[in-house]
Amino acid sequence: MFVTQLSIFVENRFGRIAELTRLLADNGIDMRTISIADTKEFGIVRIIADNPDKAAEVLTADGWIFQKTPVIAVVIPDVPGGMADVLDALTEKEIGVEYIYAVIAKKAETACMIFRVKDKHSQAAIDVLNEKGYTILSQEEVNAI
Amino acid sequence: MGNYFQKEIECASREQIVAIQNEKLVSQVKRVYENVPYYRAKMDEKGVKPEDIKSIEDLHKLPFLMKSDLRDAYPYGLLGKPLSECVRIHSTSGTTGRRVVAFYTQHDIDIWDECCARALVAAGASKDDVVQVAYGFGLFTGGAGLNGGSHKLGSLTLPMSSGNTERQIQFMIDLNATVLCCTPSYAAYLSESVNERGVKDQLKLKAGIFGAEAWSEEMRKSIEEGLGLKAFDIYGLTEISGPGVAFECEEQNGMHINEDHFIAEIIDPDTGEVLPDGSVGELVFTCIDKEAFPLIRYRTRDLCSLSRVPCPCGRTHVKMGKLMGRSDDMLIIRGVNVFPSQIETVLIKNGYAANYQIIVDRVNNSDTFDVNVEITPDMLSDTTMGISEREKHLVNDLKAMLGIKAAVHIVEPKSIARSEGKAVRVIDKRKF
Repeated sequence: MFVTQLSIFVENRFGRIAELTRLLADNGIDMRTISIADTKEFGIVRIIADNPDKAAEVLTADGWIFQKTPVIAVVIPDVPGGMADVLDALTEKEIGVEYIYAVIAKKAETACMIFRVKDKHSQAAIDVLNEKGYTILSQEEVNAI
Repeated sequence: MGNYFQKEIECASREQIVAIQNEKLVSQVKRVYENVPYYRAKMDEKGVKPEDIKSIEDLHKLPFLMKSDLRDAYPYGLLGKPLSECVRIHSTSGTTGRRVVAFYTQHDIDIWDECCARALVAAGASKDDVVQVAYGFGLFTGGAGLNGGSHKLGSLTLPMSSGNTERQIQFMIDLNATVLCCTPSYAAYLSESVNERGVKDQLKLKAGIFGAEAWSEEMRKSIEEGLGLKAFDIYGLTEISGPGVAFECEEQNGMHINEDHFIAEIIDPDTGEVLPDGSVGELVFTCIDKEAFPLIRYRTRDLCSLSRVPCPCGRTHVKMGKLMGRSDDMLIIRGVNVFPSQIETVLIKNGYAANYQIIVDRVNNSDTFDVNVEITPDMLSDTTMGISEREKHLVNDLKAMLGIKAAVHIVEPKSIARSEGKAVRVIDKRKF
């Protein structure tokens, strides 16, 4: 089970992320989380939106360059070692992580983390996490956090 | 064998063409000597009299005209007819300094229209076609030339001018345009826009005539695919008349020069010596039929070669190869010759759109060379590393093509200034 992340190319220019998020806001799109990978000249803004299809339409119409990337939303206990345990499970299966970021959680006991692994490892990652008893969230469940 | 607009001239024998050229050249030189004091002074200085010119064999004896002469003689110094007999003025885009103005009599317009009609027929057009002219109208010759040619042929003409892409595509679809005429960079932009909107299957285009800029074979393929048409090159310049001085036939491997109106030579740009067919050099034109602006041995600065290998299309007029660039468009960066078309070739070979801009500057006495490339969905990755890899790949390919290293920057779509006529490909900030 994957969640759709929108990976958007943004030039490293003053005000550009504000323009992007304003566009989504004006179209009634709620961001569940956002993370940015940046270089000196450009960045990739990664967004989990409540309605990825509509967000994609809005971005296309406004001329942004982006792609939809499948990512895994995992519920982990919000205790010391919570994250290390998940990573151990993946490492044991030789699954590398491309990047990780968090979803803003309203409940305190658990955290929801977004994991991106190589496409060829996606299913194996889900299998091992399921095996270890982790809860993997669907798009709707992420929206409901 | 295709169709011709004027078969008797377009397929004339070499002897016939030479006979026409001899006769027209001799009387043209006489007329110019009498009516254009500026050129008379040049001939006198070189010690050439009109009676020394007995045939095209003597052409090389005549002095050249350069762009600087046009500036010196601005605006009326090269007029061959009284202004009262002129009916129109066109002007160059003025990207490289002072504007040049050219004058036309009705006769000049008529032969220009005829040349463009020949180009349209060579691209497969007839009076039953709908020709969308998306070149700029106004002082620029693009719009006027193809518009005139299309009228002369009797096609239904859509004088759209350039820009307003939304309306271009709407009319193209609603009015069943079959032939598109514009600059190659605008054709590429239209192709992008058509495919973004997913309306390619609603187009009826069969041919495109694209000129006024140098463009690569790769760009031709990408436009042909994007718009579902056959793309033809056309050549011309305001000084000589406008588009239609030479045009491509269905063979798509060189442009037939309208030799009954213009004599072409290839010279060594450094020595001015005439080079044999096949050698690459600077293209020089002599107008043997024009009245108002009768330039003789005008150095175009365009680099190409000429070929007289018989063309399967049946046309006998000499062919000029694709432009290798302009001798004044060529950049010398860190001592290396760089043509913008080389960069375009690398981009298209890597599957990218040819939306780029070259920025050259001089910092601490050494040249900086930056190439901005607009990102396309295919280039995107969800990691910065993925995109940086592509940048690195382009840097390597450019290095292999040019021999020097460029800094490649991937930028947002449509962030490179695009005048809807000609794309701004080069910004040279160096001060010499």
